[in-house]
Amino acid sequence: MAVKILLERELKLIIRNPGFIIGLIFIIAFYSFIGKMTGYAVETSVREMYTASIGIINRDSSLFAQRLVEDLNKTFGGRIYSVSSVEEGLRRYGYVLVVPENFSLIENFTNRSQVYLYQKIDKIPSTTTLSTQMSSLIAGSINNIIKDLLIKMRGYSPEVMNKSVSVYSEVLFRDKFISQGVLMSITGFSMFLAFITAFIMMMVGTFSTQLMVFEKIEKAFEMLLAQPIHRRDIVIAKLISSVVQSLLMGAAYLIGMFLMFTSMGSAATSSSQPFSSENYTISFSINDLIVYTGAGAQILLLIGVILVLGMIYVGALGIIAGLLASDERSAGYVGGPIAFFFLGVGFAMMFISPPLDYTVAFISSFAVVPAIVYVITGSLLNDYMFIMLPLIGVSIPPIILIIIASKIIDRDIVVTGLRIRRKMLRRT
Amino acid sequence: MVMRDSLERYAVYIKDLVKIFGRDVVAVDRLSLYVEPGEIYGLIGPNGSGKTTTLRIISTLLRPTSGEVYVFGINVIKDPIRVRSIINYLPEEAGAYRDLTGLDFIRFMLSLRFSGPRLIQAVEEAVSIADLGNDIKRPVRTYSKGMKRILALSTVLASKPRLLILDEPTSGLDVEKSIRVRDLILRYNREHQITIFLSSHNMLEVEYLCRRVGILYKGRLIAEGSPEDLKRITLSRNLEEVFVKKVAEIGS
Repeated sequence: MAVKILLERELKLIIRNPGFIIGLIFIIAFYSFIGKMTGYAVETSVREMYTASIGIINRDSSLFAQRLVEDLNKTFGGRIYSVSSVEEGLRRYGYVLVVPENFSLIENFTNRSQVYLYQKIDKIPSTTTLSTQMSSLIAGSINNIIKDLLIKMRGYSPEVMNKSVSVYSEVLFRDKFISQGVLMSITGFSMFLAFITAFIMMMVGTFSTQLMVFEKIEKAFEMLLAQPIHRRDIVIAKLISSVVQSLLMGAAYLIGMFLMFTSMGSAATSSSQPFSSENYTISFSINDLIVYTGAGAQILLLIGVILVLGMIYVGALGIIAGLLASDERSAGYVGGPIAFFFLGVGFAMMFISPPLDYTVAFISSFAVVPAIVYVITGSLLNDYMFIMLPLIGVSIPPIILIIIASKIIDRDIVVTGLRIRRKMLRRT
Repeated sequence: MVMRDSLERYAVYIKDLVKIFGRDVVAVDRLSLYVEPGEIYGLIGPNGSGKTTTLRIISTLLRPTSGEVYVFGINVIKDPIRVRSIINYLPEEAGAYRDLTGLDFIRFMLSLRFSGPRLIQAVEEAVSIADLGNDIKRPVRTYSKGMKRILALSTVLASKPRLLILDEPTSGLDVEKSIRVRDLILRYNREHQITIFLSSHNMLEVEYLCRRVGILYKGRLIAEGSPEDLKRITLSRNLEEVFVKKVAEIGS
């Protein structure tokens, strides 16, 4: 009963706070801005092409194919090396391009004409847009070279050549070959989820700290503590309230993120147009996640569980910070870093590639966001240890923190704060 | 050793209470006192004398370092929720939630104690005590300090606890509102037999309200008795003079 009453009061405080409404609007506007800035950064990174070497297997012994490889090597600044097998090429260079048998015999190089690009990934993929750019670069280069060769060697008229060769890319992800398009889709979606999770968690931490500290600032806290209720009910009500607030803000954040990725997507597409890549685009498909991870719709449930556990986790952290703080300033000192830590982890997950290691999966899941990436990866690789360990890892901290918060709220420090009052008598 | 049966005869029973913050900051030093049911007891003393700490310990907000504290025979450490069910506490500078209306605040606080018709009755009584007119439906952020004080006081009075603990009940209020608060305290004490344990800097106020007074200095109880007895023994005209003379005695 006490929880219901406390919760009603909390919700009234939320909806009557103009700062909360302004915050909603700010987030949408801010992330649209971030989207434009990130779009610019993506465009810049696309222009700065990699210096990666590529192994090549030419199975077409024709003069046409040989000229193709020679010209491709020139285009890539001499970074094309002949290898005997895909495995050897992946081991030595990380990329292998395969020109299939009878490649040059295909009339007019129709849409069915393909070369194969293989890439090796031993870690959790992050911003694998890099490999997409490699596919685009190779596709564009081959198409340009083939046009030249057709004109020079076969006397074709440039006007009739509106067909192009496509690059079919596969990734050797640990010991499993996966279509690059699918991996990109799943990776992109997992990064998207990781970042959203980080952001929502950051909000939970901030809100729960604020809720606790404002209780003190508004000077009704001591009256509340003197009421005949279990103080853990106060912790639970604050926790639920901060999670509800964060879910509302998260919805606003989703709108902002879609606006942001719309901007990013258009920037990436326009920058890759010169290479005529038509096979791979950055996409965030729930369908790919469900179909290709092998976990079915359960993967969404797993992600939801991690998100809720993460919210409770950070909410409890924020409440502890608020309980310990003597005023809003000290709460900011404690709550701020907590919030930015989780956001930082979420952001970093878009750029770093953690190793495929059980211990790392378990420990890094204490930071919640990596758990999402590991669970998706585990589903993709059919490795259930990468599902169970992150779930266990992400469950432990919230339980411990709620117990700690329930203990702290019964302690003197909730009333006195971390700062010891000067007016207390000093024993002489 | 006072037996439990006899403890129940006291509204507040404190024995050798010590509260130390950190390693060596002594807020309350071997304090022993009692408050009888139905009386108004006042703790007076300068800043840092341990008044608020003592009230917070009785209100179950702080835990004593050592000593015993009972409220109507209930141990504040062992059974804090039972203690809270028979007391209410008005802290110094008690406020209310800015974005709630005065009425919402009253309803919220009282709903933690009552439900159903008893809640409705208590809310009506609190609204009547607060006497804020239409302002009761306005957000608390629009209230003056005096209005907030009266609002908070109205919730604790309307809960009609067996023991009401008031920390500086008229602190920062103008004369008119101070008189109103004092009248309310006296009225609820007499009409509802609510035991009142209050602290104050204002010794004249304490003299006016309290049947017995304790003077705290550096965490110790340096004098106790009725205002008249204390004045007579120390040949003083008022409690302020009593306080000054007692402090001088300790110094010498």
